[in-house]
Amino acid sequence: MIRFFSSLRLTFVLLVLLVILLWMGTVFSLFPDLKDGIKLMNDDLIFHWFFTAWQTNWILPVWFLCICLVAGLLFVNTLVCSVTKQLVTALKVATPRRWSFFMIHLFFLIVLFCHGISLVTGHKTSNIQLFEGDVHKIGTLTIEVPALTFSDDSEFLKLGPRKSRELMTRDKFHRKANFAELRVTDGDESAVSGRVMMLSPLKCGNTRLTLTRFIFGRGDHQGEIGINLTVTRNAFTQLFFIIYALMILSLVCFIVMTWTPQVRKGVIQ
Amino acid sequence: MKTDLPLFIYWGMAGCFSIALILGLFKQRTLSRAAGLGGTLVSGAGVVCLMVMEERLPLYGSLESIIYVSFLLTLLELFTGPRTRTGSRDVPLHLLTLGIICILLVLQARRTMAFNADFFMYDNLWVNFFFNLRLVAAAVFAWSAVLFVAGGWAPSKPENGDREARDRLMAGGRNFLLTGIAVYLASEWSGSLWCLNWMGDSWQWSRGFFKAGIIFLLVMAASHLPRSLADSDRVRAILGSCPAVYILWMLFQH
Repeated sequence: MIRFFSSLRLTFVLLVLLVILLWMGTVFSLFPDLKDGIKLMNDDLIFHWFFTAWQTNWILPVWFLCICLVAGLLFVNTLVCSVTKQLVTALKVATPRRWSFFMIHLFFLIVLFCHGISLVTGHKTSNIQLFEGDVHKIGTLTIEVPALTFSDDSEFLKLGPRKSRELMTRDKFHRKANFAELRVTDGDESAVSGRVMMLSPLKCGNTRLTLTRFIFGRGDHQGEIGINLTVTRNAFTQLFFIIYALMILSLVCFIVMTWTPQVRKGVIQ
Repeated sequence: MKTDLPLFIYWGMAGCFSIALILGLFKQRTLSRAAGLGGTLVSGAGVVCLMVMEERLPLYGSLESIIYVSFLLTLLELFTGPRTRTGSRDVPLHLLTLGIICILLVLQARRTMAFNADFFMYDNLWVNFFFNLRLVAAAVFAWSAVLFVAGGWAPSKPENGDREARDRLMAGGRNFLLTGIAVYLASEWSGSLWCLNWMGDSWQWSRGFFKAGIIFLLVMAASHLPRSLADSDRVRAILGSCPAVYILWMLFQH
């Protein structure tokens, strides 16, 4: 069993399967219905999305399950191979080359774990539309918008994604001149106040309040400018970025240490 | 003049690199090298013009990507290309490099000859790193593919010492494939940070995410070949070239 799960052949097969599954994802995104379904995967925790999507269209949930299954097997494969082969070899003859090789795989495992755990834990609420003076509650979290400043041409907000991509240049849209002041209270904890702008979220512990775009008000808020917020809570985000960076560094170390091929019995390895 | 400049750069590159390729095919090595160097200078001038005119690094869009990738690829060939026993540069590597650039230029021929439109997010450091490093990775993957293909199809008569030259090319391909993935992962790391600050999550399920994932997995697959496949240099060369083919194809898929 250990031999099967630590085999390089299994690694290769699983990687090829993942390539095929992701390629299927690119094909799915060519069909409007499935493309919308894929977009919905980002609006909520995948865990919640899965059960809702299952009732409307089975293709995406089955495809997603296959990705999880193959990625899970790749995790087990990497773990078993790292422990039974790479670690044992590194302990037997400790060289920087062997240790860096083991470390790359160890960091990769943690990155994969962070990806996996973020699918089922934490919190995510997207598309919260707020205007100046609004108060919004999500569970124990209360978000207030005491002030909102939008100093550029509001016509930008009426444009579609393609047109706005062409016209919202650095000269015409000033990211730092358009922002909202937020006041956030989480249960009994003291309130956190701060400014959110595009690409600059407000952090309140593990909770992030991200301004994804400005919106043009309709109905009761006709003519007003508001914000579209995404609230996420994920305890593993920081760990993910640190380990991801360490994985790249260990890969760089491995490349440097193995740049010159080892020559054994006249054959370059 | 300002709007025509990208077109002039394109035709300058097309002229130099195609002449270099034709001369190389007719074994006019010195002249081919000179024309290739001319192409490098034109593409380098194109990169400088872009940075001055647009006040940013090369980031996105097929024309500026091709100019930048061609410039980096020719620099890699110039400074890291292994030399033959006589100290001269390897001819197949030069021709393969020119071949890749000419294919890219032909594919660009019927597309818009303009630099990518400006966008307000280009003032963000992580956005710049994400797009620019992805182009750097594309050039490194392309160079790795050149080495793999040259190694995979090189003659290997042990008595002539060809086997050693072949092994060095394959080892070079492996080194640059891993270097490419390190640069690519640095780009993806920056992209994840950008995505986190923009969307609230370190990644989004989207066509772009799937394509980015495929590149990573292709490199992983090429680096984890079972013995039955790894024994063949040509299989290694083909699989090691897949990330380059895919990422270069992606330059046109915006």
